[in-house]
Amino acid sequence: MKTRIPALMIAIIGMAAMSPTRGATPEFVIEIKDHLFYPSELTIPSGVKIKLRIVNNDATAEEFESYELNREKVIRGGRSGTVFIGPLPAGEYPFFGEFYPKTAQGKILVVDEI
Amino acid sequence: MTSALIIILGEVVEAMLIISLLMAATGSIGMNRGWIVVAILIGLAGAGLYADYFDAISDAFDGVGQELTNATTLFGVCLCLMFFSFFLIGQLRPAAPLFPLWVGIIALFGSIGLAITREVVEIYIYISGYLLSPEPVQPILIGGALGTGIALSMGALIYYAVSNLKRRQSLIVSCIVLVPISAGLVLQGVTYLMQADKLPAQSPLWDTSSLIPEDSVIGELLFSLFSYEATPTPLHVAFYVSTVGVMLLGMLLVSRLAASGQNNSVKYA
Amino acid sequence: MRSIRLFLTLTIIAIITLVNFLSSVRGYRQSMDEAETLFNEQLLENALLISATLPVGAPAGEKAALPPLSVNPRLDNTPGFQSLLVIQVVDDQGNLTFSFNTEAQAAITVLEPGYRDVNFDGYRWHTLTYRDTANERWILTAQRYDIRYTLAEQVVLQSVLPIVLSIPVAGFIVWLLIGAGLKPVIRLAEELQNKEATDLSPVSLEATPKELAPLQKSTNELLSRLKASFEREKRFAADAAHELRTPISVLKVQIHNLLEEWQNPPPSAQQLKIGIDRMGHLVEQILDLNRTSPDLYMAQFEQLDLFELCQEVVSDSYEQFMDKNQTLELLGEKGLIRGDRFAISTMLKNLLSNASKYTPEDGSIVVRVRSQDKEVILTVSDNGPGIPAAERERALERFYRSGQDRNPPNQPGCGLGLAIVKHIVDLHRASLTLGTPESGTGLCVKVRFRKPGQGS
Repeated sequence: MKTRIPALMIAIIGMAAMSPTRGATPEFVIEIKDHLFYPSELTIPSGVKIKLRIVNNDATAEEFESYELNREKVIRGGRSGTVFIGPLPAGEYPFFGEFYPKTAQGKILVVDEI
Repeated sequence: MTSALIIILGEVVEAMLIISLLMAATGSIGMNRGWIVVAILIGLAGAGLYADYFDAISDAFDGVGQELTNATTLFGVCLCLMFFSFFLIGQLRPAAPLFPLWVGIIALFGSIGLAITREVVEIYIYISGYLLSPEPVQPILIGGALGTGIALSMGALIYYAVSNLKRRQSLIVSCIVLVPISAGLVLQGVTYLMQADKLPAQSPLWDTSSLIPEDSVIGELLFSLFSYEATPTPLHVAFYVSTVGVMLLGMLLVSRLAASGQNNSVKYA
Repeated sequence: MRSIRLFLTLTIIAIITLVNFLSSVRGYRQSMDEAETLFNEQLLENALLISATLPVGAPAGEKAALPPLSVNPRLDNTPGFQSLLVIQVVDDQGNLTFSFNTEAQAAITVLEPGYRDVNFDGYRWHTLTYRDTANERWILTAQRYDIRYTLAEQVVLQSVLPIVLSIPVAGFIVWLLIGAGLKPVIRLAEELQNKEATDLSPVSLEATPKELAPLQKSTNELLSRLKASFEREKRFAADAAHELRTPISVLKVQIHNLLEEWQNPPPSAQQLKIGIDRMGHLVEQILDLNRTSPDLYMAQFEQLDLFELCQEVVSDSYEQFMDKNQTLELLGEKGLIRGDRFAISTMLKNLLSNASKYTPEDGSIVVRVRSQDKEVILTVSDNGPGIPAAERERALERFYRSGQDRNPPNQPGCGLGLAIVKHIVDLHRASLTLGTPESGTGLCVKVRFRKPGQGS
């Protein structure tokens, strides 16, 4: 056990270090304000991996969560976070803020052609 | 109310499940339960530290530090649970335990400490955020009470169910229940690595979200207990299956070792 | 150790909590869905109302033309009601012809019939797009999502709150009830625990519950069997010894006469006399042992001066020491104890005769009585061979005779002396230790009596 935990850590940190360099990943931004997502509907191309930056303009934390996308990430008040999505087939992928789900809702529309 | 319920329920059930199982198991091998209290305190201290550096950790590694930390924590809990289950199997013959006590204590500290750290930080961030907003508090309190009540009740029932068994059965049952829990933690860790783009995203193998939606109470409970995933990808399945395999093989090996150790000692006695 | 009460309370409460909470979560969700439908119907009603009352082509500025809508009198007093409902009317060209409660200059939602969620004015709204076919226009109604939600939740939570609050109460009541249910078990345990070692009378509970009846019955049966066998054993030894006394006395007289009649008695006749004496002693000792057994001795405690009692016993048994030319010293002072006169003198006799027996000729024996703050200590030391430390424990058993070599061949010892002493010590709740005297050789018997009034 003594040797295995550090080994695992090194493996994970190593993976972090060799961040993917294959081409530029398109970046999209979603902002949170007053527990609302702007835009609440984001259209992205299908079959491509994208980088989604979530900017939280509220003072309170929010957790970006989507069961369909299988993503969850806590973004503290006044900060931003990055989530990688895709490549995905065309369709609708709802997401919501787990901390304020009654207003913070939106969906990602994946389309074949923009 | 629902958000508080789901968040508290999810986090507390996961921690309670591990704690109550380990508590029953340590009870049946006569290990001092004070260690569990120490482990919980370690977890709380870890949570305080994590919360303190939360922003710095989140920003690290190009904004995916949170995912990497979560994945590391999850893999750590899984590893510690694995060693704890080996430790338990090594205790099947009370006369000749295979591993020294400190192995069990470290595994206990690791698993409970890391699990508590993760769950408590999430609850802390949620609640501290909520205190800043002008929303009414009552629904959150009720939701939190419902979630905590359900989680604690499940913990109590699991604890008594396992600790009412005979020593041998209780060890075997807790080890077997630990298998899907540990594999589920790996599953969550893999999802985090995909989210951080450290593992390739893949299209799901199947979709059971129409059968048991992940946002239903049952789905949430299943997620907390066994990391229920409605849309697993081939990588998820591969990691899950290999974790289950490694744990089962390890337990088998340890039980063989324990048995042969017993034979030797009889021979030389 | 596991507590039945805790186990039952926790598991029962856990199950009550799980069932209640899960069903109230389900109830909550269903009620919220119902409320959602209700609010949607409101949106539709408002759209229909507008379509029926608002003249076609009214300019956007005439908001005041519409009397304030009262959807539900209850909501009028709710803060934030003003922004609950938003209405817009849009013609086919997309021009806003009527607007209520919003500053938005364009259609708030898509012009396609149906319900939708949209963000505008800094809130999330639930909108209805209604096609007013008769007047060829679109009527858009919207409600703020968070207000709808909060209003619905306020109502629904009223039914959840009591369930949450009732759990601690239920827990407390269950705890008390289980405690009450377990009372007979605790009482039975207490009864058994408080029993004196010699008390073999049956345990009795008032109103024994059905589940405990077999336990109580078998415990009482066990106790009565134990009592019977105790008594049988006691009686047998006592009866046997008593019955043996008469023939032994007869034998003693006969051998006495026989030795008188014989001019020159053969050595075997002398041996016979010694044997008979020994048997007599044994029987007396067995009787003493039984009489002083703490289980059955009916002691009559009184205030005694241990030193005075020692003086009496020493003077009675002085002959024994004279025979072996041993010196006997009695030292010490007045020592008051509570004790049974007969038992204590039996104890002293046994200690003295043991000391005399095992000390060689010309040896010396010291009896000492000391009075300390809480105890009166009696020590009897000799300078004989003593008892090895390893054997001291066993020396107190019945019929123990320390290493046969220690026993002078002609001594009529039977191995009961120290057992009798131990009985009497126990009877007085005193303590007995065997040790070595300060001189280094021999045996030192120390008996510590608690002074009267020094605790139980």
